[in-house]
Amino acid sequence: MASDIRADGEAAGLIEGRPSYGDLSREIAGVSLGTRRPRFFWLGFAFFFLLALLFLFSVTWLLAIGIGTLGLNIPLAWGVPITNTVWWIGIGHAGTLISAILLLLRQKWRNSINRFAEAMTLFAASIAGLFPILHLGRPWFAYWLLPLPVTHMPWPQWRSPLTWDFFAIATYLTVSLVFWYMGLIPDLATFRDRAKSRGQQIVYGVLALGWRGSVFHWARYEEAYYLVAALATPLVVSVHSVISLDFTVAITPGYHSTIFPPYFVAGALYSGFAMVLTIAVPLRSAFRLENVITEKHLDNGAKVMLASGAIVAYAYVNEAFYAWYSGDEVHRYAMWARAFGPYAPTFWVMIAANIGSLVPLSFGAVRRRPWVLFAIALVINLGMWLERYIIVVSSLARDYLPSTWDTTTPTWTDYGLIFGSIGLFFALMFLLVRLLPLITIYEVAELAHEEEAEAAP
Amino acid sequence: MSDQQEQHGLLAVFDEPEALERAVERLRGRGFTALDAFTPFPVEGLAEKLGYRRSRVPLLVLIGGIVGFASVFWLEAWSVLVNYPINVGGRPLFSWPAFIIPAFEGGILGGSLCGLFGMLALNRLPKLYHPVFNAPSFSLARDDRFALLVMSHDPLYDRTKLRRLFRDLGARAIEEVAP
Repeated sequence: MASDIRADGEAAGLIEGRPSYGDLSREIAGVSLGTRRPRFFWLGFAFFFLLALLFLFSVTWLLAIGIGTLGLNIPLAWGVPITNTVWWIGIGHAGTLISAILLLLRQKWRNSINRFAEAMTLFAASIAGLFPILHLGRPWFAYWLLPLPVTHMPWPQWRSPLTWDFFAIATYLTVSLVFWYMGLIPDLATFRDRAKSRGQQIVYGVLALGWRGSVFHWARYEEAYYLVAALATPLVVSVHSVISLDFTVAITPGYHSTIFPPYFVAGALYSGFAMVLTIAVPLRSAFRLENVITEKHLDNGAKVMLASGAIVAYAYVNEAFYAWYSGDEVHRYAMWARAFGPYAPTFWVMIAANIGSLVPLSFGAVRRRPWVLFAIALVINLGMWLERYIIVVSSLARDYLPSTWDTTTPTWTDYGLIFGSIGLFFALMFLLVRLLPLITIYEVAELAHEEEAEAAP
Repeated sequence: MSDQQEQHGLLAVFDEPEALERAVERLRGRGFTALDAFTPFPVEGLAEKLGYRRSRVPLLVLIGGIVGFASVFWLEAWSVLVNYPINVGGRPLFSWPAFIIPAFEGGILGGSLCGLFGMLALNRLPKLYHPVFNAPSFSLARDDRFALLVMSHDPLYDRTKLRRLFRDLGARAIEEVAP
């Protein structure tokens, strides 16, 4: 149907084929409430669930045996766990950008993809929050970060970026949950009214809080939704900036750089949109949602990747330039060691993945091919993980004194944590598709109505 | 007509938001006040036509944000100045620029929580039972059902006349709602 429209010379729209009212609810709700799901759905879920079990096993192993099971040792006290934290939080940021910032900018194309992008934020931020605790060595003291008025522990060090980080991630997680749930309420009511079984009606009914779509409720709902979006916007910028302060406030060469906050936020959007496309492309083809998640959505997502990726590329150049311009011998050497030292292969793969991907992304023909975009998105996901690894590890590996130089490689527990967390993330996404509306029904219906009203003379 | 008080009201269901808007305008023009409308998605301007004025949600969000910011900032200042001052090499105890960041996060958190819970409280939600759920033609299952409810405590409420009016306005279903 979609191709018919384009054959007429019309550009790809946000909703294609002009579905009539009622059809959209059925189509979207059918993905979760329908009784039949394709076999590959269960195969995919089984695969990622096994990986999630690997995560459980690796975490248990780490907690039971100790921190020595990870590739961490002084001077390399930060390694894969912190890399994972920064990477996962970055992935979460695209969800907030889509749901909050694009909402405030009245970008209608966000409507089809914001729900799963918000869920992505929630899952990614939850996973990210685990790693700093896991790499503590004595994780049972993690609650010392909380400002608890008890006599056996001191107050948190309020001047430390690690404390800021804790407040930023905890707030981010809570606000993401608030925003996600608020967006779900009307759709949960749709699910309640569509559900056939008594059990579903009760569960969705309780979760919908008795939403009945009164126009007075809608008016207050929209005010609250826009205000929370307006609050989430500075929050999302602050979260990755605060995370970057964990690095820049330290005097380690390779960490101590003023460009880190904007560079981290741009990198977060780059990897986050890569993850959005990694999910959106298989999702739309698996559940025949091509008329709701159109090529226009993929094209726009790719354009955001292009813009944020260009900022990341600029930051690479800027970092190298300021290392040279500072005239500081140690800083210069740290940069040189990054490109030609023990982590050189990782560095060049990162450059090839993150900057190389910008070349095909600049062509419209590439941006209109979903599976090509999917492949590029996977490459960028890898490249951005490597970027965080390079920043975290290669800087610690070449400190001020040659006597403290060391290198490390990830152990199998590290790999278990990386791939296990990816498995956990996608297993949760599969559950989301099974249990909740993965596209915001009411917003897509509103958009369809507006497009129809515009089409009518 | 003796059982009028036992009814919650009369519900008319329309196919299109425009038809619902026309019905609202007609009824408001005739002086009806106890009206409510139910839509599957927000219809711009309809609440204002039903007599809605700006809510207190923004005020609650502002208060939540200020309280969140102030309480975290107060905790920081109180803990370093009063509860457990530690002099580290004569550096200032009250290093407020560093305190701004957790306080900022606290402000965002307070504002967002007040946004959600304030919206729910002003809407009198959660409320799992409501009379309109009794009406078989009321459903949010499809996005082409736009319902208008005239409540029976409206002084102009008259079932027979309202039924005729709704039929003229093109309602696809007209139904009495049990309380």
